[in-house]
Amino acid sequence: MYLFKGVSKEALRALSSLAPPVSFKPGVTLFNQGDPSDVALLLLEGKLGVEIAIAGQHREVGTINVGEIVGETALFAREGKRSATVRALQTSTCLIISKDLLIEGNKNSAVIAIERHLLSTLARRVRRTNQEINKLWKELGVTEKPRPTGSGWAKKLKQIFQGSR
Amino acid sequence: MSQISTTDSDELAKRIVTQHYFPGASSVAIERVLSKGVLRSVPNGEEICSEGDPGNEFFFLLRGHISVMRRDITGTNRVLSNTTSPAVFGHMAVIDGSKRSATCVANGPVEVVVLQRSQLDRMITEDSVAGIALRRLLIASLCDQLSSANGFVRKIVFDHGNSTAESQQPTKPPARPVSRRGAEPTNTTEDLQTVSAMLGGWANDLADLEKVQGEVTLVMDEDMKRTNQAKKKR
Repeated sequence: MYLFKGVSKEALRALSSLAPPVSFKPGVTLFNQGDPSDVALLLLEGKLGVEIAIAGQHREVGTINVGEIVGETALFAREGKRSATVRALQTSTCLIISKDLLIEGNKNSAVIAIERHLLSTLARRVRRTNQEINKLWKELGVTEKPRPTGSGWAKKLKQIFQGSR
Repeated sequence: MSQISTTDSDELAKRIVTQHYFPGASSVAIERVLSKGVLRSVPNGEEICSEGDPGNEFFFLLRGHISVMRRDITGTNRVLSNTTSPAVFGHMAVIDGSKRSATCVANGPVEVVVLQRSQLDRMITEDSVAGIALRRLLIASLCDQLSSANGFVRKIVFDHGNSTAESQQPTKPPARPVSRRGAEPTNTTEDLQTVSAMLGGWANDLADLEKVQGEVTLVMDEDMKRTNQAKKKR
Protein backbone atom coordinates (compact mmCIF):
# COMPACT_ATOMS: atom_id res chain seq x y z
CA MET A 1 0.00 0.00 0.00
CA TYR A 2 1.38 3.40 -0.98
CA LEU A 3 1.25 4.81 2.53
CA PHE A 4 3.63 2.05 3.63
CA LYS A 5 6.12 2.84 0.88
CA GLY A 6 9.60 2.59 2.33
CA VAL A 7 8.43 0.77 5.47
CA SER A 8 10.34 -2.42 6.17
CA LYS A 9 8.69 -5.85 6.09
CA GLU A 10 9.72 -6.32 9.70
CA ALA A 11 7.79 -3.21 10.73
CA LEU A 12 4.73 -4.35 8.74
CA ARG A 13 4.98 -7.80 10.29
CA ALA A 14 5.11 -6.21 13.75
CA LEU A 15 2.10 -4.07 12.84
CA SER A 16 0.07 -7.07 11.69
CA SER A 17 0.97 -8.82 14.90
CA LEU A 18 -0.12 -5.86 17.05
CA ALA A 19 -3.28 -5.31 14.99
CA PRO A 20 -4.25 -8.27 12.80
CA PRO A 21 -6.38 -7.15 9.82
CA VAL A 22 -10.08 -7.91 10.16
CA SER A 23 -12.49 -8.70 7.30
CA PHE A 24 -16.12 -7.65 7.00
CA LYS A 25 -18.74 -9.06 4.64
CA PRO A 26 -20.79 -6.72 2.45
CA GLY A 27 -23.62 -5.10 4.39
CA VAL A 28 -21.99 -5.42 7.79
CA THR A 29 -22.14 -2.25 9.91
CA LEU A 30 -18.75 -1.29 11.29
CA PHE A 31 -19.79 1.84 13.18
CA ASN A 32 -23.20 3.13 14.12
CA GLN A 33 -23.88 6.84 14.25
CA GLY A 34 -24.17 7.90 17.89
CA ASP A 35 -22.18 4.96 19.28
CA PRO A 36 -19.24 5.68 21.58
CA SER A 37 -16.03 5.63 19.57
CA ASP A 38 -12.67 4.21 20.52
CA VAL A 39 -10.98 2.97 17.34
CA ALA A 40 -10.28 4.15 13.80
CA LEU A 41 -10.06 1.97 10.70
CA LEU A 42 -7.55 1.92 7.88
CA LEU A 43 -9.13 0.27 4.84
CA LEU A 44 -6.73 -2.26 3.27
CA GLU A 45 -9.14 -3.90 0.80
CA GLY A 46 -12.70 -3.29 -0.36
CA LYS A 47 -14.97 -0.30 -0.02
CA LEU A 48 -17.01 1.22 2.81
CA GLY A 49 -20.08 3.43 2.66
CA VAL A 50 -20.70 6.36 4.99
CA GLU A 51 -24.24 7.26 5.95
CA ILE A 52 -25.71 9.86 8.21
CA ALA A 53 -29.18 9.85 9.71
CA ILE A 54 -31.05 13.12 9.54
CA ALA A 55 -34.64 13.42 10.65
CA GLY A 56 -34.94 9.64 10.71
CA GLN A 57 -33.70 9.18 7.15
CA HIS A 58 -30.40 7.50 6.29
CA ARG A 59 -28.45 9.25 3.58
CA GLU A 60 -25.28 7.95 2.01
CA VAL A 61 -22.82 10.80 1.92
CA GLY A 62 -19.60 9.22 0.76
CA THR A 63 -17.41 6.18 0.38
CA ILE A 64 -14.13 5.14 1.93
CA ASN A 65 -11.64 3.65 -0.51
CA VAL A 66 -8.50 1.61 -0.03
CA GLY A 67 -5.87 3.57 1.87
CA GLU A 68 -8.33 5.87 3.60
CA ILE A 69 -8.72 6.17 7.35
CA VAL A 70 -12.12 6.60 8.93
CA GLY A 71 -13.10 7.39 12.51
CA GLU A 72 -9.81 8.99 13.52
CA THR A 73 -11.45 11.46 15.90
CA ALA A 74 -12.07 8.47 18.19
CA LEU A 75 -8.35 8.47 18.88
CA PHE A 76 -7.78 12.20 19.05
CA ALA A 77 -10.76 13.48 21.01
CA ARG A 78 -11.31 13.15 24.73
CA GLU A 79 -14.73 11.68 24.29
CA GLY A 80 -16.87 11.32 21.29
CA LYS A 81 -19.58 9.54 19.45
CA ARG A 82 -19.63 8.35 15.89
CA SER A 83 -20.88 11.12 13.63
CA ALA A 84 -21.84 8.68 10.87
CA THR A 85 -22.66 5.05 10.23
CA VAL A 86 -20.08 3.09 8.25
CA ARG A 87 -20.97 -0.11 6.38
CA ALA A 88 -19.02 -2.52 4.20
CA LEU A 89 -20.12 -2.07 0.57
CA GLN A 90 -17.86 -4.91 -0.55
CA THR A 91 -15.92 -7.58 1.32
CA SER A 92 -13.54 -5.30 3.14
CA THR A 93 -10.39 -5.76 5.16
CA CYS A 94 -9.44 -3.15 7.75
CA LEU A 95 -6.65 -2.50 10.13
CA ILE A 96 -8.13 -1.54 13.48
CA ILE A 97 -6.22 1.40 14.88
CA SER A 98 -6.70 1.58 18.61
CA LYS A 99 -5.14 3.76 21.27
CA ASP A 100 -3.26 0.67 22.47
CA LEU A 101 -1.78 0.17 19.01
CA LEU A 102 -0.57 3.77 18.90
CA ILE A 103 0.96 3.48 22.36
CA GLU A 104 2.51 0.02 21.98
CA GLY A 105 3.63 0.64 18.42
CA ASN A 106 4.72 4.25 18.85
CA LYS A 107 8.22 3.52 17.55
CA ASN A 108 7.08 1.23 14.74
CA SER A 109 7.77 2.85 11.36
CA ALA A 110 4.49 1.49 9.94
CA VAL A 111 2.55 3.23 12.72
CA ILE A 112 4.53 6.42 12.06
CA ALA A 113 3.60 6.07 8.36
CA ILE A 114 -0.09 5.78 9.28
CA GLU A 115 0.14 8.89 11.45
CA ARG A 116 1.90 10.88 8.72
CA HIS A 117 -0.76 9.75 6.25
CA LEU A 118 -3.43 10.91 8.68
CA LEU A 119 -1.73 14.30 9.04
CA SER A 120 -1.75 14.95 5.31
CA THR A 121 -5.29 13.59 4.92
CA LEU A 122 -6.62 15.88 7.65
CA ALA A 123 -4.75 18.90 6.27
CA ARG A 124 -6.33 18.23 2.87
CA ARG A 125 -9.80 17.84 4.39
CA VAL A 126 -9.49 21.08 6.38
CA ARG A 127 -8.25 22.93 3.30
CA ARG A 128 -11.08 21.60 1.16
CA THR A 129 -13.64 22.55 3.77
CA ASN A 130 -12.13 26.04 3.85
CA GLN A 131 -12.47 26.18 0.09
CA GLU A 132 -16.14 25.28 0.46
CA ILE A 133 -16.50 28.16 2.91
CA ASN A 134 -15.05 30.45 0.24
CA LYS A 135 -17.49 29.06 -2.32
CA LEU A 136 -20.37 29.62 0.05
CA TRP A 137 -19.29 33.20 0.66
CA LYS A 138 -19.08 33.72 -3.06
CA GLU A 139 -22.41 32.02 -3.62
CA LEU A 140 -24.19 33.91 -0.89
CA GLY A 141 -22.49 37.25 -1.49
CA VAL A 142 -20.77 39.27 1.17
CA THR A 143 -23.68 41.66 1.55
CA GLU A 144 -25.78 38.71 2.67
CA LYS A 145 -28.75 39.87 0.57
CA PRO A 146 -31.13 37.08 -0.47
CA ARG A 147 -30.25 35.80 -3.92
CA PRO A 148 -32.87 36.12 -6.61
CA THR A 149 -32.60 32.47 -7.67
CA GLY A 150 -32.47 29.33 -5.62
CA SER A 151 -29.83 27.35 -7.48
CA GLY A 152 -26.99 27.95 -5.06
CA TRP A 153 -24.93 25.78 -2.77
CA ALA A 154 -26.75 26.88 0.33
CA LYS A 155 -30.06 25.93 -1.14
CA LYS A 156 -28.77 22.59 -2.39
CA LEU A 157 -27.34 21.69 0.99
CA LYS A 158 -30.43 22.82 2.80
CA GLN A 159 -32.59 20.81 0.43
CA ILE A 160 -30.47 17.69 0.75
CA PHE A 161 -30.53 17.82 4.51
CA GLN A 162 -34.22 18.61 4.59
CA GLY A 163 -35.01 15.79 2.20
CA SER A 164 -36.15 17.86 -0.75
CA ARG A 165 -34.76 19.29 -3.96
CA MET B 1 14.28 36.37 19.91
CA SER B 2 15.12 33.90 22.64
CA GLN B 3 14.17 30.46 23.88
CA ILE B 4 11.08 29.94 25.97
CA SER B 5 11.81 29.88 29.72
CA THR B 6 11.53 26.59 31.60
CA THR B 7 8.64 27.92 33.67
CA ASP B 8 6.70 29.10 30.61
CA SER B 9 7.46 25.91 28.73
CA ASP B 10 6.26 23.76 31.61
CA GLU B 11 3.06 25.76 31.99
CA LEU B 12 2.30 25.91 28.27
CA ALA B 13 2.98 22.20 27.78
CA LYS B 14 0.62 21.30 30.61
CA ARG B 15 -2.12 23.51 29.16
CA ILE B 16 -1.63 22.02 25.67
CA VAL B 17 -1.98 18.49 27.01
CA THR B 18 -5.13 19.53 28.85
CA GLN B 19 -6.59 21.12 25.72
CA HIS B 20 -5.70 18.47 23.14
CA TYR B 21 -6.21 14.80 23.70
CA PHE B 22 -3.94 12.30 21.96
CA PRO B 23 -2.57 8.84 22.78
CA GLY B 24 0.53 8.95 24.92
CA ALA B 25 0.09 12.68 25.58
CA SER B 26 2.67 13.99 28.00
CA SER B 27 3.62 17.52 28.92
CA VAL B 28 7.28 16.47 29.17
CA ALA B 29 7.20 15.42 25.51
CA ILE B 30 5.57 18.71 24.48
CA GLU B 31 8.22 20.59 26.44
CA ARG B 32 10.85 18.89 24.31
CA VAL B 33 9.08 20.17 21.19
CA LEU B 34 8.85 23.70 22.62
CA SER B 35 12.52 23.68 23.52
CA LYS B 36 13.36 23.51 19.81
CA GLY B 37 11.53 26.77 19.07
CA VAL B 38 12.28 30.44 19.67
CA LEU B 39 10.15 32.99 21.48
CA ARG B 40 8.76 35.93 19.51
CA SER B 41 6.81 38.92 20.88
CA VAL B 42 4.18 40.37 18.56
CA PRO B 43 2.58 43.78 19.15
CA ASN B 44 -1.17 44.35 18.94
CA GLY B 45 -2.49 44.37 15.36
CA GLU B 46 0.58 42.86 13.72
CA GLU B 47 0.17 39.93 11.34
CA ILE B 48 1.86 36.76 12.54
CA CYS B 49 1.22 34.95 9.26
CA SER B 50 -0.57 36.06 6.11
CA GLU B 51 -3.02 34.32 3.80
CA GLY B 52 -1.38 33.33 0.52
CA ASP B 53 2.17 33.36 1.89
CA PRO B 54 4.29 30.21 1.89
CA GLY B 55 4.26 28.37 5.20
CA ASN B 56 7.82 28.24 6.45
CA GLU B 57 7.08 28.23 10.17
CA PHE B 58 4.37 27.35 12.66
CA PHE B 59 3.50 28.65 16.09
CA PHE B 60 2.52 27.82 19.64
CA LEU B 61 0.53 30.62 21.23
CA LEU B 62 2.10 31.20 24.64
CA ARG B 63 0.32 34.38 25.72
CA GLY B 64 -2.45 36.56 24.35
CA HIS B 65 -5.15 36.28 21.73
CA ILE B 66 -5.10 36.07 17.95
CA SER B 67 -7.77 36.58 15.30
CA VAL B 68 -7.87 34.12 12.41
CA MET B 69 -9.13 35.82 9.25
CA ARG B 70 -9.74 35.00 5.60
CA ARG B 71 -10.38 37.26 2.65
CA ASP B 72 -13.86 37.16 1.15
CA ILE B 73 -14.58 37.76 -2.54
CA THR B 74 -14.19 41.53 -2.14
CA GLY B 75 -10.79 41.06 -0.51
CA THR B 76 -12.08 42.09 2.89
CA ASN B 77 -10.71 40.10 5.83
CA ARG B 78 -13.47 38.29 7.72
CA VAL B 79 -12.82 36.86 11.16
CA LEU B 80 -13.19 33.07 11.24
CA SER B 81 -12.31 32.67 14.87
CA ASN B 82 -10.59 34.23 17.85
CA THR B 83 -8.05 31.99 19.49
CA THR B 84 -6.43 32.18 22.86
CA SER B 85 -3.47 30.42 24.47
CA PRO B 86 -2.78 27.50 24.44
CA ALA B 87 -3.04 26.88 20.71
CA VAL B 88 -0.96 25.64 17.83
CA PHE B 89 -1.49 27.43 14.54
CA GLY B 90 0.04 27.95 11.12
CA HIS B 91 0.87 24.24 10.83
CA MET B 92 -1.39 23.30 7.92
CA ALA B 93 0.68 25.04 5.26
CA VAL B 94 3.81 23.58 6.81
CA ILE B 95 2.41 20.05 6.73
CA ASP B 96 1.22 20.00 3.12
CA GLY B 97 3.49 22.65 1.63
CA SER B 98 0.61 24.78 0.41
CA LYS B 99 0.14 28.51 0.89
CA ARG B 100 -1.30 29.99 4.07
CA SER B 101 -5.07 29.60 4.07
CA ALA B 102 -5.65 32.32 6.66
CA THR B 103 -4.17 35.44 8.21
CA CYS B 104 -3.45 35.46 11.95
CA VAL B 105 -3.30 38.83 13.66
CA ALA B 106 -2.29 39.64 17.24
CA ASN B 107 -5.30 40.77 19.18
CA GLY B 108 -3.40 42.59 21.92
CA PRO B 109 0.20 41.82 22.84
CA VAL B 110 1.10 38.24 21.97
CA GLU B 111 3.97 35.85 22.59
CA VAL B 112 4.49 32.85 20.35
CA VAL B 113 6.99 30.00 20.17
CA VAL B 114 8.10 29.67 16.55
CA LEU B 115 9.28 26.43 14.94
CA GLN B 116 10.65 26.18 11.42
CA ARG B 117 9.33 23.97 8.68
CA SER B 118 12.60 22.08 8.52
CA GLN B 119 12.21 21.21 12.21
CA LEU B 120 8.70 19.89 11.65
CA ASP B 121 9.75 17.90 8.58
CA ARG B 122 12.46 16.25 10.62
CA MET B 123 10.47 15.67 13.80
CA ILE B 124 7.34 14.16 12.24
CA THR B 125 9.38 11.34 10.75
CA GLU B 126 11.13 10.56 14.03
CA ASP B 127 10.33 7.95 16.64
CA SER B 128 11.71 10.26 19.34
CA VAL B 129 9.52 11.40 22.24
CA ALA B 130 9.28 14.88 20.70
CA GLY B 131 8.51 13.49 17.24
CA ILE B 132 5.68 11.26 18.47
CA ALA B 133 4.19 14.05 20.58
CA LEU B 134 4.36 16.63 17.79
CA ARG B 135 2.82 14.30 15.19
CA ARG B 136 -0.08 13.40 17.46
CA LEU B 137 -0.62 16.94 18.73
CA LEU B 138 -0.89 18.18 15.14
CA ILE B 139 -3.36 15.41 14.26
CA ALA B 140 -5.48 16.31 17.29
CA SER B 141 -5.34 19.98 16.37
CA LEU B 142 -6.37 19.26 12.75
CA CYS B 143 -9.28 17.12 13.99
CA ASP B 144 -10.46 20.13 16.03
CA GLN B 145 -9.96 22.46 13.06
CA LEU B 146 -11.95 20.19 10.79
CA SER B 147 -14.75 20.01 13.29
CA SER B 148 -14.80 23.82 13.62
CA ALA B 149 -14.70 24.32 9.85
CA ASN B 150 -17.60 21.91 9.39
CA GLY B 151 -19.51 23.77 12.07
CA PHE B 152 -18.79 27.04 10.25
CA VAL B 153 -20.15 25.61 6.98
CA ARG B 154 -23.29 24.41 8.75
CA LYS B 155 -23.79 27.83 10.29
CA ILE B 156 -23.45 29.64 6.96
CA VAL B 157 -25.66 27.18 5.14
CA PHE B 158 -28.44 26.91 7.64
CA ASP B 159 -28.44 30.55 8.80
CA HIS B 160 -28.51 31.83 5.27
CA GLY B 161 -30.60 28.99 3.88
CA ASN B 162 -33.34 29.66 6.40
CA SER B 163 -33.59 33.28 5.35
CA THR B 164 -33.65 32.63 1.60
CA ALA B 165 -34.92 29.23 0.59
CA GLU B 166 -37.89 29.28 2.94
CA SER B 167 -39.17 32.52 1.54
CA GLN B 168 -38.91 31.12 -1.98
CA GLN B 169 -40.47 27.76 -1.21
CA PRO B 170 -43.89 28.14 0.32
CA THR B 171 -44.64 24.47 -0.36
CA LYS B 172 -41.99 21.90 0.47
CA PRO B 173 -41.78 18.94 -1.93
CA PRO B 174 -41.96 15.45 -0.43
CA ALA B 175 -38.81 14.06 1.16
CA ARG B 176 -36.41 12.27 -1.16
CA PRO B 177 -33.29 10.70 0.24
CA VAL B 178 -29.95 10.90 -1.48
CA SER B 179 -28.95 7.44 -2.62
CA ARG B 180 -26.06 6.04 -4.58
CA ARG B 181 -27.40 2.53 -4.67
CA GLY B 182 -31.01 2.97 -5.67
CA ALA B 183 -32.30 2.81 -9.21
CA GLU B 184 -33.40 6.41 -9.03
CA PRO B 185 -31.09 8.54 -11.18
CA THR B 186 -29.63 11.40 -9.18
CA ASN B 187 -26.91 13.98 -9.62
CA THR B 188 -25.00 12.10 -6.94
CA THR B 189 -21.58 13.57 -7.67
CA GLU B 190 -22.97 17.03 -7.18
CA ASP B 191 -24.68 15.95 -3.99
CA LEU B 192 -21.50 14.38 -2.70
CA GLN B 193 -19.48 17.45 -3.51
CA THR B 194 -21.86 19.65 -1.61
CA VAL B 195 -22.19 17.32 1.33
CA SER B 196 -18.45 16.75 1.45
CA ALA B 197 -18.10 20.29 2.71
CA MET B 198 -19.92 19.23 5.83
CA LEU B 199 -18.07 15.99 6.29
CA GLY B 200 -14.50 16.95 5.76
CA GLY B 201 -14.11 16.49 2.02
CA TRP B 202 -14.69 12.76 1.70
CA ALA B 203 -16.11 13.04 -1.77
CA ASN B 204 -13.14 15.05 -2.97
CA ASP B 205 -10.73 12.66 -1.31
CA LEU B 206 -12.43 9.84 -3.11
CA ALA B 207 -11.58 11.40 -6.46
CA ASP B 208 -7.98 11.82 -5.38
CA LEU B 209 -7.70 8.30 -4.11
CA GLU B 210 -9.18 6.84 -7.28
CA LYS B 211 -6.42 8.60 -9.18
CA VAL B 212 -3.76 7.43 -6.79
CA GLN B 213 -4.95 3.84 -6.85
CA GLY B 214 -4.20 3.59 -10.54
CA GLU B 215 -0.64 4.65 -9.95
CA VAL B 216 0.38 2.69 -6.93
CA THR B 217 1.10 -0.92 -6.27
CA LEU B 218 -0.57 -2.49 -3.34
CA VAL B 219 2.25 -3.90 -1.25
CA MET B 220 0.59 -5.96 1.40
CA ASP B 221 2.73 -7.97 3.71
CA GLU B 222 2.49 -11.68 3.01
CA ASP B 223 1.79 -12.43 6.64
CA MET B 224 -1.15 -10.07 6.63
CA LYS B 225 -2.52 -11.80 3.54
CA ARG B 226 -2.12 -15.24 5.08
CA THR B 227 -3.84 -14.13 8.29
CA ASN B 228 -6.66 -12.70 6.24
CA GLN B 229 -7.06 -15.84 4.12
CA ALA B 230 -7.06 -18.03 7.22
CA LYS B 231 -9.81 -15.92 8.73
CA LYS B 232 -11.86 -16.14 5.55
CA LYS B 233 -11.56 -19.94 5.55
CA ARG B 234 -12.67 -20.11 9.19
